[in-house]
Amino acid sequence: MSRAVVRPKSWVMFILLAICLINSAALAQDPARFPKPEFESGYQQPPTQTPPPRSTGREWMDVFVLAVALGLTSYFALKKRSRRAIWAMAVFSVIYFGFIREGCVCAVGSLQNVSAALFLSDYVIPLTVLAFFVIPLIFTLFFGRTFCAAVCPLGAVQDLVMVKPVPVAGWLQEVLGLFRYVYLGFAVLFAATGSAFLICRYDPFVSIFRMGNDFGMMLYSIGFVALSIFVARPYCRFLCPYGVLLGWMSQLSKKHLTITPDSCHVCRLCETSCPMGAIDKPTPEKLPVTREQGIRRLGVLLIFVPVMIAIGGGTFSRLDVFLSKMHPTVSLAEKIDLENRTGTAGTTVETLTFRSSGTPAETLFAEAGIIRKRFRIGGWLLGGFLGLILGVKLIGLSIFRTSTEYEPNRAACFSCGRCFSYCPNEHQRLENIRHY
Amino acid sequence: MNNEKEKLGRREFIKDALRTMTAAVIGGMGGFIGGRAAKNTVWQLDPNKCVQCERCSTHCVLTESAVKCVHAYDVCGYCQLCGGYHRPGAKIQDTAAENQLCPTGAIQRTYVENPYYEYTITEALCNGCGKCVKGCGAFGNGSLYLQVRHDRCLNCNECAIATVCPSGAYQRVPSDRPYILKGQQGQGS
Amino acid sequence: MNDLIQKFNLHEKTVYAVCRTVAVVAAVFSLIICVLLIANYLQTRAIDPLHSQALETLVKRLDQNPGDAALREQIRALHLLSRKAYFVHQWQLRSGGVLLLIGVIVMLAALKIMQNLQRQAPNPEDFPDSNNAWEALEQARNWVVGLSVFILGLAVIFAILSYREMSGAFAESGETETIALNNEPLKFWPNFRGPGGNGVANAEDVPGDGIIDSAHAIVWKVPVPRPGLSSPVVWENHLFLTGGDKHLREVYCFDTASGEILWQRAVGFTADSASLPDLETYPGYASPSVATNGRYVCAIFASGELICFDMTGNEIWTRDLGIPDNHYGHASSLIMYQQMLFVQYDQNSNSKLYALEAATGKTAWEVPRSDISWSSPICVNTENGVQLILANSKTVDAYDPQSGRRLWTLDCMGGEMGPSPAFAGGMVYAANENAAAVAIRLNGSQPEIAWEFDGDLPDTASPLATDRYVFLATSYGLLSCLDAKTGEKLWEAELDYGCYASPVLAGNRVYAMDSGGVLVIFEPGDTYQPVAEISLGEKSDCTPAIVGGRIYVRGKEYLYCIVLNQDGT
Repeated sequence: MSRAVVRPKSWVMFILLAICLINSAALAQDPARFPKPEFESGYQQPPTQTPPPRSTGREWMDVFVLAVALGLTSYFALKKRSRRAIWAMAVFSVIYFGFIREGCVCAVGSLQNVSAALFLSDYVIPLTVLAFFVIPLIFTLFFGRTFCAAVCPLGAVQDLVMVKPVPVAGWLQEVLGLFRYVYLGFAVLFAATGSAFLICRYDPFVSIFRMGNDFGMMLYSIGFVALSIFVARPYCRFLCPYGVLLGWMSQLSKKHLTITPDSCHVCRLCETSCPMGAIDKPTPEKLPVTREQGIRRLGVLLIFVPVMIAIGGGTFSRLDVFLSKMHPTVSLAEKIDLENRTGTAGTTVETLTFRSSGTPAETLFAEAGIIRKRFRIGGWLLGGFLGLILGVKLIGLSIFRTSTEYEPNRAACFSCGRCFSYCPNEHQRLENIRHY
Repeated sequence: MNNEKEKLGRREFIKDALRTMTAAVIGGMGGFIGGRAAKNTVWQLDPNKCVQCERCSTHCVLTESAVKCVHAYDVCGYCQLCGGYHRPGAKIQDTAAENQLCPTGAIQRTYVENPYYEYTITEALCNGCGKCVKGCGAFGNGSLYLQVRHDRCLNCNECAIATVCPSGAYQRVPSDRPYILKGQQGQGS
Repeated sequence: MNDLIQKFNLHEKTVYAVCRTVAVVAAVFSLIICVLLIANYLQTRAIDPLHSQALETLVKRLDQNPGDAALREQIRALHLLSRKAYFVHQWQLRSGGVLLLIGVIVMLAALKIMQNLQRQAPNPEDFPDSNNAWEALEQARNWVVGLSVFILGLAVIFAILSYREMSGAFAESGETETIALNNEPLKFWPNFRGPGGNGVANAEDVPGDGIIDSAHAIVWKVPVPRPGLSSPVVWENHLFLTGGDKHLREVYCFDTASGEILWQRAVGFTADSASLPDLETYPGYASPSVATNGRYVCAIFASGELICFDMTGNEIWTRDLGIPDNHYGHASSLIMYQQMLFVQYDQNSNSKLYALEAATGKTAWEVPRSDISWSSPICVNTENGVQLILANSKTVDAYDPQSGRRLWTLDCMGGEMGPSPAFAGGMVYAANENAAAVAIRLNGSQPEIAWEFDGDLPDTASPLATDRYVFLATSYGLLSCLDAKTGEKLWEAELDYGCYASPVLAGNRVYAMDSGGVLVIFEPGDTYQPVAEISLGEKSDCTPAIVGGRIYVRGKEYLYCIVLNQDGT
């Protein structure tokens, strides 16, 4: 094996390589070990294959498809009032955004990319991901949650497998619905601190679209699909953090899907038509409590909201140690610290790798300390947010809105159009169309 | 009745104002982030940081990992006794199964000329465990190394392997330069 | 429901029946696939084909009998089989997934058609009473309040748990130096009697096992400018000593490779320089050894001057602790743990234990102590966490290095306490002339005396403890070995001179410096097994430092570097 002659060219290459690898002590000495031979048999070195990733063009095409699908669904929900067309859109979205595109990046997940881009200076967000975040919000601001109806592959899957939905009691729906805010808060906190993308990690449907994941996640997915057969859209209603934002947008929306094509006769036929429990009923004329009582309660709650924000913030800021374990740097620092304190070394692959990297533990600890401080602030914000949400929810539950019609609840309605066929006016409308 | 209409009109006005404001906020935020936004990115692992923990082969969301071994022929010494091909302690340097390191037999060894042999990865068989990478790094030039293969990678928003990589080798790279290559190919860019 | 089906027309009935059959078949099919997939997963998890134990065993056997052709064939067959199993498993997972998906889709479609057939016009009379909207709101309010309290409670619990679990080490400051305790393999001897002050060298630092004569063993010897009894302290290539007299105290940094002085710094900032006592005879002004954590090096003198330098000799801070009321002169060495420096400042009155921030010299905490001593603290990892263990002329005490809380105390010493405690195998050992040698078993927070020994006892040399033996070296040259479990004397040996320096252990050898300047090397055991003797040619009362396979010793005037193997290792 020993040969003294080495082509100058390969030496140049080795030097370049050595410079390139200057930071990696493990490999820096390697290139010159066995110089590349000079072949006499005319051997041609094969190229290293580098199959390209999905092109940017295709990413932009997905954005385009998203916009078109949103437009079509809005048209079907608001103008054409066709449940069947919306269903067909849902099938399309599951096939295209789900099984063909295999999930990432979806609008729900893009929420984390946007959080990271807002709070982490070194995180860059691709424009297509930003588009996936913004376009559904804008559409919802004008047409209600038509994105949820049939464009979001997660929502569409649940919509399609919904066979025998059982009604969920009003209070239970309110309480479970609050978990969306909790999930949103934690997802943003972990994304904004660069710890983890919680929403992606616990996405119940992506493993079905990809037909693969680890065993536990597969079981979780199958469980969620099974649940979706009996509980209408459990993820959308009780977990989806993006749905929180869409709900806010929808409350301000310019137009929205209506149950009846003209005016409500309060025939009650649509009352139980919504498996998602998103129909607001007309309220009885008389107030259940006196005006004074109502105002007093409201006053107490209004004072209580800032208190809840303060308590929430104060408590959650003290979760910095606990929550920061989610950050890889902090978790590594804790392991190293534990090893140092117990006089061991290399109990895990992570610590072994860190110790062999030659980085002083001090640097790691300093970094972990900074991240923990960030979690301290993030904890304040998260706790304050949760306090605010719960306070506002309580106020919302104390105000008795008067209404004389059956209307979709703008924040909760997914615009799926299931209620259309329950309205006698709708049948009249279809009849009229048929006659013309 | 008139009063009621007035009320409705006021409500509509407030709503319009709020909607415009929200749209402006979303637009402003989009513009702020968009101003710093970059080209699309893909996941790639830095072979210089890789410690061959074998997690690439088990933690990918795909049943067959998107991470495979690639060979930088430029850096290869075409050795007769290859640390990436032969298991440590192999007495005879041939292609017999008992002398191979690769658990799936994904490396092809072909004779070039005395005493040189070419090593080629059969990607369909490679499971990305990195045993050969470790062997080649320890005894050879380090010409075998792991890379995310973008014909297979789904480009998950959060790469499942990146979350468990002990050396932080995974990073997002621009999609127009999706590989971190060794050898002349790697230098060219 | 059945009434409804009765009302179906023939077409509807047929569709319903077909759908029901399809749904049942698809459900059974999906279930079977599901079970198969799970079984497949569990099986491959139990016997991972690519990490086959059997294959490894066979390959190992082949290495022993390279000629065994049958074995070779067997390996090849098994190798092929395991590869096949691996790829078949992957194929099964993929195709099973597709089949399951198809099964579920068919089942759901059939169920949906059945459901649609059964759809009836709603009858508002069956609807639940809608007039209880206000009660529903009230109920929801209560639940929201309940949920808020639940979330808050959960947060409080996790906050408390996580804060308790965290020792406060790195999160509090973000800047922490970690120092190795006993047995951590790193290249240093950070204070008197090595890592943790326990007299045991790091496993990686054990000197060679050669036996050579004194002339060849000494690699270099260099003069130390001013006298002192402080023992060498080493961090990588830096070796620190102090020296001094009534007029000037000094800190020296030597290069361990050559013995060359890298820097030397004079210390003389005490306000009471005029009233410094005469300690010219014994033990002098520079008895305490320095302590370092690789970033700072701190030194203390009998004048009460405490000073901190960085590794290149820049002064970081100084503190004047005041001239101690000490008739021989302050002699306790310093020790550091993480970012803290500990000063055992025992004297006739106003004794204290200080914990200072190494970076600033500010007091992190201080606790009062009762009696005088010349003994040094040790900082060791016990099963109840890290403890700082000190001895004075009456008691042995342990403190929590983070808070200064006294963890336990035992009244078991006496006389003028010179030797430091030692720790091994869950036991603390302390000994002093005119008192006893005592073994303390750490039963959590209830330590108890395991045994006492009142034979020949050390005056200044600290006991050296291993899991099996305790070694005592007396000032009149009697070296004795006790059984660590029982305190029974196993053997004794007479040295030519007395021992004032503490014996230390490195690997399987004990190194004891006697005051005649002879480094006596022996192997610990049930009998005395001397290995070698290296003579410095001058007197020495300083404890050797053993780092990187070399032994550093301070004699009366010179500093020595000793190796034991012919090739210089």
